Amino acid sequence: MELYELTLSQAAEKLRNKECSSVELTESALKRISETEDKIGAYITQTPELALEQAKKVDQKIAAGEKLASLAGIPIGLKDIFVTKDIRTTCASKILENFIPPYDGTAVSKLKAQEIVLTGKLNMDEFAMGSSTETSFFKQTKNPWNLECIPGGSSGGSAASVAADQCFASLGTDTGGSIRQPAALTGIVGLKPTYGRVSRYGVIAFASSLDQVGPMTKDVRDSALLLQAIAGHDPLDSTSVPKEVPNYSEFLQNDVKGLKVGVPKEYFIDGMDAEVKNAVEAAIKKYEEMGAQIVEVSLPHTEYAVSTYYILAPAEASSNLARYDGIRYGYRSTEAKNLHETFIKSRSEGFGDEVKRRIMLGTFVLSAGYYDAYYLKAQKVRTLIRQDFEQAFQKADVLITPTSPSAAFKLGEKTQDPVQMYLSDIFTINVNLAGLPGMSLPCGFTKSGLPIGMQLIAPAFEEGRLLHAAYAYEQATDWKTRRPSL
Amino acid sequence: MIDKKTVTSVAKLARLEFPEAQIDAFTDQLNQILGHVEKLGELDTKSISATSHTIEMETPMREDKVVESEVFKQILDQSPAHEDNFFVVPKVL
Amino acid sequence: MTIQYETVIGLEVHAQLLTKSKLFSAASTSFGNEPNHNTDAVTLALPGVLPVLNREAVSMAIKAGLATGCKIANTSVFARKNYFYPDLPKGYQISQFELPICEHGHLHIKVDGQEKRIGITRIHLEEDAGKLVHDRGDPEHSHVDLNRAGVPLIETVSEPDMRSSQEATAYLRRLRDIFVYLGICDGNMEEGSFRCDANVSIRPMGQEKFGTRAELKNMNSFRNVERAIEYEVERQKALLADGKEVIQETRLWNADKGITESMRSKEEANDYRYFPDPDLLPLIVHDEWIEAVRQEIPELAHEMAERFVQEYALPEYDAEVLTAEKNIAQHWEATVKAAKVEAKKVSNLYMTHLLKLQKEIPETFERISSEIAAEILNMTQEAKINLNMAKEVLDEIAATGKEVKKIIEEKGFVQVSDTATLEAAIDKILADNPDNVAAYQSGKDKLFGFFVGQTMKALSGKANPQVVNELLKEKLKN
Repeated sequence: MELYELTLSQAAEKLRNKECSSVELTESALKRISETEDKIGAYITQTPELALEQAKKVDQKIAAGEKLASLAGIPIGLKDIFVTKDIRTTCASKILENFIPPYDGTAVSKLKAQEIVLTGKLNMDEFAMGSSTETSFFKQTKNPWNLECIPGGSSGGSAASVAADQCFASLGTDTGGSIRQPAALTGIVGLKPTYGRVSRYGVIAFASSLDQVGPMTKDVRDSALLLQAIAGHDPLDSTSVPKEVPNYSEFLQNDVKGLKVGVPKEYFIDGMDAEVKNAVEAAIKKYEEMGAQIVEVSLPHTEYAVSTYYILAPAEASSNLARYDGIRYGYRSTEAKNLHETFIKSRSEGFGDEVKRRIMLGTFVLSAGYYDAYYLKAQKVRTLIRQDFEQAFQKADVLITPTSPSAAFKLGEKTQDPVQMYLSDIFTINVNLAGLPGMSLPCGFTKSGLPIGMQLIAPAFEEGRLLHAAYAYEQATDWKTRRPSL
Repeated sequence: MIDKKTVTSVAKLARLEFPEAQIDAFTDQLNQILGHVEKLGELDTKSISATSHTIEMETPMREDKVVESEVFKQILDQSPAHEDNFFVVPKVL
Repeated sequence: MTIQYETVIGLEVHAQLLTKSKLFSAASTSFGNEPNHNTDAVTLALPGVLPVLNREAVSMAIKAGLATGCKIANTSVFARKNYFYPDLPKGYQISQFELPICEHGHLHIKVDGQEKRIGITRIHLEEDAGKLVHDRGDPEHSHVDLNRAGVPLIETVSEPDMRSSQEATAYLRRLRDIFVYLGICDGNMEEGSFRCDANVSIRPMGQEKFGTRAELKNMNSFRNVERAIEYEVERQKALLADGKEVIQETRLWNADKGITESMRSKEEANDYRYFPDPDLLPLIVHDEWIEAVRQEIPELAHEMAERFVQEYALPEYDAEVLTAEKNIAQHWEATVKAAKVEAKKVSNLYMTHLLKLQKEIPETFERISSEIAAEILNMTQEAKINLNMAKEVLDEIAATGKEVKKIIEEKGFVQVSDTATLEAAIDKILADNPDNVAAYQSGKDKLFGFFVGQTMKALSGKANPQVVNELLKEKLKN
């Protein structure tokens, strides 16, 4: 068995037991990257020299008998949305093609404090706008399970890299499903924490009231480990919640007897992909066998979630992306003859079509005369969606749903039809609108061998409950033993 | 429904420009999306309050303390144009 | 018959708050640093940065609100005002729109002895923009300095309650005095830390509906505010007289030409797309905080002036002049308390001498402490020196900071009150000028001054004028 096949926690244990060195783990991951990267295309920027340097440092500390943090010496990748000091950070956009940040974001600082080894910056949809990683300015990332398929998005590089064993885990961000959907489509575990649980400082903003950082890992235990490292209050983020972080590993329990698992009926509709439906229904049965109590719940405003999201997220994005103006950093058009043209041409040449589409949409819904009809209306519907969940959680401890309406689709299949693309987030968007924690984990495969993911949703700040339910299911099934052949 | 004229004026506000042909395509796409979004009109939200944030907290405040920062040096160095510590931009007209 | 018009003015005042750091970041607000040195990742709007509110700025805004009778909102909200300009790094300004921190206030002004109440619609917190520099000799480029970007401002919006340029400047002065007394703004109009825009319109006398207004900008002194409004009112009257209409627009005051000029082109199609800033949560100000801030509010300029009139029997005019600057008012009062001289005399010294001296030597009131001023005044009272000597001593202290005693020694300033010495000098003068003595005695009273002058001259100005007067009167009686 190759070292790169290990999970994060297995690798950490081997390192602790001195069965391998950090340099060996790193070399193994780097070897895997060089073998598979041509096929997968997960990285925008690779940092092999830095990785080996960091690994050596950790090995020296181990040799000196120093006590190390739980993630020390483990190769981890970062979505290229995380601002990294002195390492190019592009957000997969031409407008930031050569941007070298002078600071580290909070999640990155926390991982650095743990002395992780950075494999590089992972591909994504431009400014996280997309569900297939096809809007990246740089490259197309492919699904390790089928190279003709998309890996999901926007954290497609983060998902594919973990699924292909190029790194032991990665960080993604999730605004409408961008961790959970690619995790589902590549057969890994993706957790979007409660809004406010992980700092957004140093995460390039897409939609500020929805964005959240989370772990993308090979299994549930790793998810707990990585979440532990990044969660917690940050005075640099006004929306970070000063709430104590529990020890997440303590929630990794097999016993789900009496756990009330809610099934929202609106998520199991006629006409949905039969293979996905069957897989999730089988998982529900599994929970029942394990002693959980299955209850039907209703989230009546589910059908309005996509519409609400595609008003609120573009509105915030149109404002968040105004700073990319060609004045202080990033791309400036050489065609501009005056100030006005500098703004217009730098932005029009620097942003891709999907980003421009969303800026247009967001600018429109905020503009005079339309604000009440669109933006304010959507904020009110957001309230209704939150209330749905509050009511559902009076009956259930966790909710179970499919993560994505279908398994991975073919490259190019939906790029010409934005609405169809937007609907691939139909099961995940709600969770962001309500600010709740949600998690995707493997629950089966299609006949053609593509992974299927199920989503668990818990009340705010109950990530522990998610990890518990997910861990019990994972232990009772063997989906995670299947790996893509590359 | 929005027309080409609205799309053009929204583009102006957003400091974006599109080739003529793309404006038509964009108008269609935006209408498609807005058509989908119209669904919200079905809901009566008169007595519903708006959600800006899902966390119910007061905005935190920091003490009035200066923290020296040198990041401007690195940003000026990689800026599109700079001179004597200023960012340089083309004149308004 | 010509139509009589009434002028309607509302003011929007931006005041920079005297915090150490910016409204939403820890970058310094200090003045006069190298371009872009007062910036950090947040000020530069780097990807991924987030705002965190400065508590002191909120406290100052509450203070401003309380001092102007505003209701302080327990909940207010920061909103983004979206527009593109190189001096606005984020592409939006964080301001307050629908729910400002202070509302429904007022203050009183006095013009031509008439007191008038001017309503204040709102005071809200927002960040300042940077500066776009055009005059660095490059015809094709402008230069961006973001040192000022993010500095906290309060914007005070008045009701359209003012009816003349005099009322407008009286309001502006009163507001400035209040902010300066509160210690929340330095009130410097030339440097732009206290800026005023004016909404000006006219309407036929007796008409209730407002006329179309022009928004005037770029007035960097009280004088310019007054001139700009006066010009604008005449411009609007002339338009209406010609049967034309006033259009709603922003106009820039050109102080060199003495006119207001349209800036339509730049303002075209402004649609700020305000929405609540998702990076910030609601600003909650609990009543306890409001009460604590209320306790910190000092006596304000007009309150102090009223007290000076009552407590020290000062004329209203003196009280107003002395309280124009808080530190001078405090200096004056401390001097009054330390000196054994009546308050009006202390006031005279300030009004006729020290205030002028300060214009030449800014350190005047630091070098001449209240104790020193009182000591010198006491010396004149005790006739140890006369008033001219006193002024000379004060000039010297202001210029050099030397000790009083030393200056008096150096200059040989000891007033001669000794009757024998004075009598001897006077006798000699009378003997040397028999013609003038005769003329005086035959009724030419004006000559008395001649004798005083001669006596002072003979004693190198050190004679005690009171004693000289008495002795001369006695001796000239025959």
